[in-house]
Amino acid sequence: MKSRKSFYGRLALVSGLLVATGLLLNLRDIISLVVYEILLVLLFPVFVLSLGLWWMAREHEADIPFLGY
Amino acid sequence: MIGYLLFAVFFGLLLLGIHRKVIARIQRRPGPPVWQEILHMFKFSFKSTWVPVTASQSLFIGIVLIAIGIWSAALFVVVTGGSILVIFGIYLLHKIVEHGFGLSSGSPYGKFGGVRSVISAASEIPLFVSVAVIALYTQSFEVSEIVRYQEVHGPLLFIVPLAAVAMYLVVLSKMPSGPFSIVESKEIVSGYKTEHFGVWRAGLEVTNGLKTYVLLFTFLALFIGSLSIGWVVVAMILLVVSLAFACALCPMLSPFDSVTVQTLFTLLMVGYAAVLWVVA
Repeated sequence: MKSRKSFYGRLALVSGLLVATGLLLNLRDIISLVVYEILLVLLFPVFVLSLGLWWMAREHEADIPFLGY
Repeated sequence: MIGYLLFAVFFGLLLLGIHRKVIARIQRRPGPPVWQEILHMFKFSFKSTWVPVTASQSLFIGIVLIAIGIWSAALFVVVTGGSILVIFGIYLLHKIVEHGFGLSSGSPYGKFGGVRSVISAASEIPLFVSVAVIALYTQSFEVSEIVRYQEVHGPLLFIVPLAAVAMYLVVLSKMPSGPFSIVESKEIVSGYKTEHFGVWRAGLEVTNGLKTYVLLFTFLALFIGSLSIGWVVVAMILLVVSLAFACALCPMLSPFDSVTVQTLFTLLMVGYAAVLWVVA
């Protein structure tokens, strides 16, 4: 279970770093806006899910942190 | 762009929260706080998550990635002034995604939601007529060209009001608790979303935020024209409040009635487009 958590953590980190790298490359005009957008379309979903899968409560852990109302 | 993407997700979810709050107040309930949908996204992402035994694992997970991906793409297309045909295509793709959500889980409720999503494709045809009418006047499918046309001739909302009404109905059909929200009505639990819980539902919440932002932004760009970000925020809130009134005051139709009403409106819109085509 721990190895899975660290896998999702690494996946979130790598996808997040790639998005940040894309942003920097786009700001320096090394890659075009379209390429950066394609990068985001491909990596943003991976980042969202892998971050959640890394962060989520494991079995037998309390998992109600945000009740809201 | 990543900043804008995150803004769209959070503001879209806030709009859905405002939508819920207004419906609640109209029905004389206190309702949840307006940021409840944002809390939902965080809450679901922390829930213990797995893939149900009956589900097709690759489709069950892959469809969430696709849903976030296509609405991210739609956001970029509309804010960079791209083609409305691409947005129209993504909108239709969303139907397939909803169907995929329903089928992937193996749950009968999910499957019913997926099937209802397909039969409610009638709601997409007024959008097609809207696009045709806009192209008839502006001679372009590019959002940037349509916005430029409105800078010269004034908002299309006043030039082709019925086309705006058609698109408004399309947006209404995508709002929760609306008269056409048959894909997630209570008798089938949560429809196509039923079995997507925890992190998968958090991904769906991200999709909902993006989808709401993109649909409202597209409506404003196509029928009002160029607006500063401040006015976009104000106009979106006003639109959502009006949609909430429609949702609160109209009962949810049965699947048959929903499709019938949408088909009748589509026929009306086709007639309207034909008259405009002859006159123009």
